[in-house]
Amino acid sequence: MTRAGKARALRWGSGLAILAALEAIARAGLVRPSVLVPVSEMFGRLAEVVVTGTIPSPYFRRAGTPSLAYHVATTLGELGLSFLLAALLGLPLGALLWRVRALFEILNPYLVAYYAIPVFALYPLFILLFGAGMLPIVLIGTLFGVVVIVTNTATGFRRVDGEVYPRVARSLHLGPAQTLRWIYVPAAGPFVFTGLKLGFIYCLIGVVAAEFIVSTRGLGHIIDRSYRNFETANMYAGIWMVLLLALTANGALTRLEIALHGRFRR
Amino acid sequence: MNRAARRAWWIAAGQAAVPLALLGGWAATARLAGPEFLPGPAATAQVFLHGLATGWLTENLGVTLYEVAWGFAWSVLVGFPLGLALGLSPLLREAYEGPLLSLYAIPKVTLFPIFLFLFKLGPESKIAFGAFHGLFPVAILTWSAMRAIPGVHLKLARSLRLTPWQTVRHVVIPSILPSLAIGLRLGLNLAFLGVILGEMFGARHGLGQLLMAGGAAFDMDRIVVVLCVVALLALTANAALLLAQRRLERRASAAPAAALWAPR
Repeated sequence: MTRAGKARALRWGSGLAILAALEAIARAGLVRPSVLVPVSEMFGRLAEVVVTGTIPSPYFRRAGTPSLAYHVATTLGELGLSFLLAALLGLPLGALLWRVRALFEILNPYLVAYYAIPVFALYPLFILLFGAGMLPIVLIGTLFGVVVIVTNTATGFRRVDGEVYPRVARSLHLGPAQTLRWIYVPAAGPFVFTGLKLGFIYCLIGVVAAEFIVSTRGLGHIIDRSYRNFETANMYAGIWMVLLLALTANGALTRLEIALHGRFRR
Repeated sequence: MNRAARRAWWIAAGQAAVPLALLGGWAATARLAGPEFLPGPAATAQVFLHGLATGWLTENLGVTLYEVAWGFAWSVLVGFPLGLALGLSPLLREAYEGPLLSLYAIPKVTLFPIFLFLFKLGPESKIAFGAFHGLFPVAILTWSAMRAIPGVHLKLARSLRLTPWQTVRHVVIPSILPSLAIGLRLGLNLAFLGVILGEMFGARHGLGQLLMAGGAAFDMDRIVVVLCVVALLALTANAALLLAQRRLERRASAAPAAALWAPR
């Protein structure tokens, strides 16, 4: 067997082994069903929730929000808004840091240190300031996602400065707009895209985390409430939903990113 | 003063002005919005001193520091050997690099209930959750830095018949040290994030729990004080490790491997 084949066998084999072990532990009754349900039941519940479109839960029925679409739409709406805000703030700010070199040098140590601060700690403050609704959640997502867009945009464009392309533009007598359109955007594009990809993932993490800590709707909220109400199968179904969503988004964006970087490689 | 020196002086002055501007902006906002809406720096300093004197702040700070220290220790104890294993074995790297990178990008916070099931409401669940956050950058930077080790160095180790341990000690660690320092810094940042998140969701003590309790009690003063403590703690730890990282980078003549896209 080739190494790639062996690696694939190892990857899938160990993944399946973990799932099988969890299934066996739950079926054998080694842990209470309020803690772990068999993996088959997790996926069964996930399928049931997706097919029927409702969460089979006394709690959510009483709360009047058993509809899956309602929670999915909330999370996607918050994610979309927070990413839009992050991109609309991050791209121009990144471009500004590229044009004004002194500003980049002044802010760089703070940008490097930014992700050391757990942004989620601001969430209770935002709830008190803006009320419990979508706004504090969107803001947490934006704050978590914006800086990686700023830094990748700025460093992406700054990289091009050091390359031969700007000199090509000068010898071709391109105007500023043409230089931006034909030189900088294609050359820095892949790096900017990497920033947008990470920004999107960070917004997703921020939104789901905020929903999970305190909220009244959304995918994170499903997991939180199911955990607190001992609806363990629903909780695992919710966890799988979020994981599959994040993995799909990350996989698709990474594939696009690789294609972009490959296309513009010298 | 020549031009370059004058420019460096202006940059340094600008950097020093950033925290002052933040502080001034905070004070102005608090003044405009009123003390019920947002307490200003002076009021916050008073609550801070009160928290030190009566102990509610110090006790919870102690719990958080304890959890972060152990969480970080475990993320290195698990992450570094994991990175070494993937760095030394091409098969393991091909099998697990993709899954581990994807795990790094998921909202790990949703898995916290499982940590609560396993480790209960005490500090252990926060330690384990912090370690779970921090081990990824440590592992990822370890194995990706090991890819950059010149093959001739490993060949030399083989022809000198170094044992695996000696190879790691004398060849691998010295050449990956600058990247490892980045991994340790990011690992500490994420371990801190994991601990705070865990405390916010389910805990009896700690700064994250204080934040949630302050939110539930509409106690704005307390929230702002705890936020300042959290931010200063994070920035201090990050600065200390950044200093160590820069020193190692300067010592190692080779450029550090840029392994992660994000400055995370």
